[in-house]
Amino acid sequence: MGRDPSLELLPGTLDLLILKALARGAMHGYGIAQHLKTRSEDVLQVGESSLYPALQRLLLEGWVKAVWGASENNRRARFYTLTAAGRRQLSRERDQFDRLMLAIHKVLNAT
Amino acid sequence: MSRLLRRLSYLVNQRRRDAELAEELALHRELSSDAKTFGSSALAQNQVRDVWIPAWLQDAAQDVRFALRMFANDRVFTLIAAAVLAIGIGVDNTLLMAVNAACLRGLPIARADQVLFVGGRDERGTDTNLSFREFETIRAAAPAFLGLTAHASSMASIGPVGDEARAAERALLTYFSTGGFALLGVQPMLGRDFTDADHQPGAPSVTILGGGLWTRHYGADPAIVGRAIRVNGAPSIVIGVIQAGFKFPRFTELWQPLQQGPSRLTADLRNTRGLELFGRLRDGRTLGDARSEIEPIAARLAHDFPETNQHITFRVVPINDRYNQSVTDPSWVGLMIVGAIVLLIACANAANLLLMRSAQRSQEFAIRASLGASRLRLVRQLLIECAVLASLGGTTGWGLATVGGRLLTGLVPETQMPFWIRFTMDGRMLVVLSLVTLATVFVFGLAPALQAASTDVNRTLKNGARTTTGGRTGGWTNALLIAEFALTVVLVTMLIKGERIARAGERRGTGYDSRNVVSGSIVLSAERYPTPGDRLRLYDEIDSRLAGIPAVGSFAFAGALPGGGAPAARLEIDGQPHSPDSAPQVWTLTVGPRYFDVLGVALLRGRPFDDRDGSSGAGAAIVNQEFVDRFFPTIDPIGRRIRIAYQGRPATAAAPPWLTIAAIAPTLRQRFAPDPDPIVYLPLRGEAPAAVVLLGRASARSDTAAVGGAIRDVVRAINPDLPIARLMPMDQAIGEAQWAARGSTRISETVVLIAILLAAVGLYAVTAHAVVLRTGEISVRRALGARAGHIIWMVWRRASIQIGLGGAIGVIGGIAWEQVTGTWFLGTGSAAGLLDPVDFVMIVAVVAIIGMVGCIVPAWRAVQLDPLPALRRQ
Repeated sequence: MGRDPSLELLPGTLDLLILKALARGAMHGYGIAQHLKTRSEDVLQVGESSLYPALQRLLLEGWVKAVWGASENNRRARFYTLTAAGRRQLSRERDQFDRLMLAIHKVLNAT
Repeated sequence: MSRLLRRLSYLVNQRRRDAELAEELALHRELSSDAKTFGSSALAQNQVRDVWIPAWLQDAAQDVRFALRMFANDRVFTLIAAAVLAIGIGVDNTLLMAVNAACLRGLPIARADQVLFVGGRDERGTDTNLSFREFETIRAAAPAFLGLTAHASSMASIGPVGDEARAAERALLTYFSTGGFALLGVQPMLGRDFTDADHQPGAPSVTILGGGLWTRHYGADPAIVGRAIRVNGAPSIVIGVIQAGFKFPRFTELWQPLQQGPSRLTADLRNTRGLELFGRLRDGRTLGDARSEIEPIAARLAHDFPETNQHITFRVVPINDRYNQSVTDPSWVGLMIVGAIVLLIACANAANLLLMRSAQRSQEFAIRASLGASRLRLVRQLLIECAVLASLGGTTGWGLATVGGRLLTGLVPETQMPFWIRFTMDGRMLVVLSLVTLATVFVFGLAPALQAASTDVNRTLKNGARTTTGGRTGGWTNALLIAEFALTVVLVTMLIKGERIARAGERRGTGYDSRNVVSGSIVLSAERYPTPGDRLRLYDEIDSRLAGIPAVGSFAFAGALPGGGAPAARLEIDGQPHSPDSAPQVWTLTVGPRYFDVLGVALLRGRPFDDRDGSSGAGAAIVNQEFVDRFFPTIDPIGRRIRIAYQGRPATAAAPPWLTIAAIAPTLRQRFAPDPDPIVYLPLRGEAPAAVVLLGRASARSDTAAVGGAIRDVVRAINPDLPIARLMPMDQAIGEAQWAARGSTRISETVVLIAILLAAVGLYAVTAHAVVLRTGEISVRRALGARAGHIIWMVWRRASIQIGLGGAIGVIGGIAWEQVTGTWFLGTGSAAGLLDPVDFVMIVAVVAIIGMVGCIVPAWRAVQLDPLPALRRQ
């Protein structure tokens, strides 16, 4: 059971996952958590104590921006969208991550 | 950069951002079905704050809050320490404000770095103005400039048209060639600028008024534009008004086109150099471009016109270099040193106060250290406390400096103050103030912080509250007190010394009787009185009319007031070898026949000037005793012949006439130099200068008011367009002319007073604290029968050792200062203004007495202590 998902995520991957999730369009915090959970088939369960600091870190870097709007059930919610810098950051992190995974794969599959 | 801005925006809106996050978290919690799997929202809140605010900043903020609480609890301490720092910072900032205004800030014109000054330099390296032909040549050959403007200034008389009998007033008038205001980026706030048509020869006369004159003289009436006023006796139409406070080049009150100025300014005379030049560079062009265009012109002119331009070079500098004073000038450096010393004294004081407090807080530090606070953390906390204190002091110091700036402004008469010099804060001063304040933190905070860091936890905790005058604290405190006293003595020495130099001339060799003497000054316009003969006729007429008025005892003209300065000249003595370059320097003053009578001065030997002296073939001179001592020490000068040549006179001009020495006058001061000058008095008839002062002595049965009235009536009757400036008792006129000396005196006195006060406060605080710490000991001594005198002596002994040591070091510093400034201000070998041993004894004595007074109260309190409660506490 992934009780503490942050332990299972490689450092920095949460940022990448959030950026990727937001690439589809604006989302609020809970939506992002749900998205990660369903897409990972319940493996990645991100807690609020890691999700929201991560979102704020992205805000600080200027990779996402936040606007208040109405949620699906008409509650006030903060929606996050990618900025242009965020899009660039996403592709950069994606490249790095792919290279890293490839390298790890090579090491693990070596005989 | 944008990250920093986003951080700042978070800090500013922290409350709202926290609320928003809380709302977001609440929603998250509500939507999620499985609340247990999620971390606490408090943790999230904290981590979010860590994202935005770096940990060190959060710690620092905590330290600041702690420091504020501490200071709020200990108001007396905070008040004294902050006040001491505020005084130090305030004084330093005020003096730096003066330096900034006079040396750094420069003219208030848009993009001043693009505006250049163009001047000339002669073969001796002296700056000269330029002639109109040179101006035209430069203007035609300098495409780097958007435009170049020539200007010249002179005193003008102004009055209303139609009321010719009303006496005119005097105001400084500047003549501008085309484009002046536009190049400076200034537009008239009323009416219009000069147009090209106004600059044509023969165009009707037009005038632009300065805002100050407009308000003072015309009641700020907008309808003045388009009306005629009388300028130098001729009607001129006012076409515009310039904003108040703009008085380019220095303190000008009205402007006219250069073509309306005296014809000599624009005449085809290559050696009449009456014009100053400035120009604005085109965008993208540099000072170097301008120099490479203008400097070769000088060589070309020297080749084409060797008669007038042989050794003349042209100098191109940014206009602020021309108008600002040099920061490295000894008097400004001296001012900055004085400011720094006062600040250091204040810092030493604050450091002492903090040391005493940290001695009381050693328990607190020991407990913190034993609970795991690192030394670094303790030092940081103390430094932050100091920073909080310093910002309190700095803010208050800013306020004090604003008051100081106002006092400085009040020292200089409005008409003598160049328009750009304003003793106010600006961006640069704010940066300097912040840096100075920050620097003080490390100067006064370091000793207490280091001492706290070296607290021995075990010993302090074991000793409990029974700390006494601990060795280390005592060491720092003693050193700081000694430093403070040494600095005070050096400061007082410096200021007294500066004062002596400023006053050297004033105090000695006045030698005249100025009671019942009235003075005024007139300047004759070159249009109405073009030749010396015209001027002499006017002077003779005034003289003879006044001679017929019984209220006037005696009357004379002179080139300047006593002490009002004198032109320098080179001396040649008949029968002695002479070379123009190494000829001795003398100073000259033109005087009328009864000059010495009016001043109540008896000639030592010889006869006064008569009405023939100075006419052609009868060259005569009166020399002063100093002149005789220097140039005729062994022979009788009367009847000998001398010749003088003014500096800057072209070498090709005809030799000046020989003058026969007619008399010897006592040595009167004409300049405020430290040593008396050799002076040659010249007869009015020989020189007939256009600017003269009028000196009238009241007869036995009248007073200065009657003489002043008589002079005014006579001059007005002869020429209503000839205003008399500063018609007042001569003492008052001399006093007003010496505002610089008076101003520096007042600054010195104030600074000395503040420094001594600071030192006394420091000693008081330290002694008082020592007494508190020794309460137990003193109580025991009292209980065992020690007499009051003994206790007082015990308290004083320490203070007197500190004062004595400080005084000794201070005297050494003072003597060193003497050595430096002796050559710096005066040149070697001058004895004037030097301090003798008696001065030093006096200075130390005064500082010591004030220091001793500072510890009377604490000593007295020690004697008054009731021993019992203190003993019980033990």
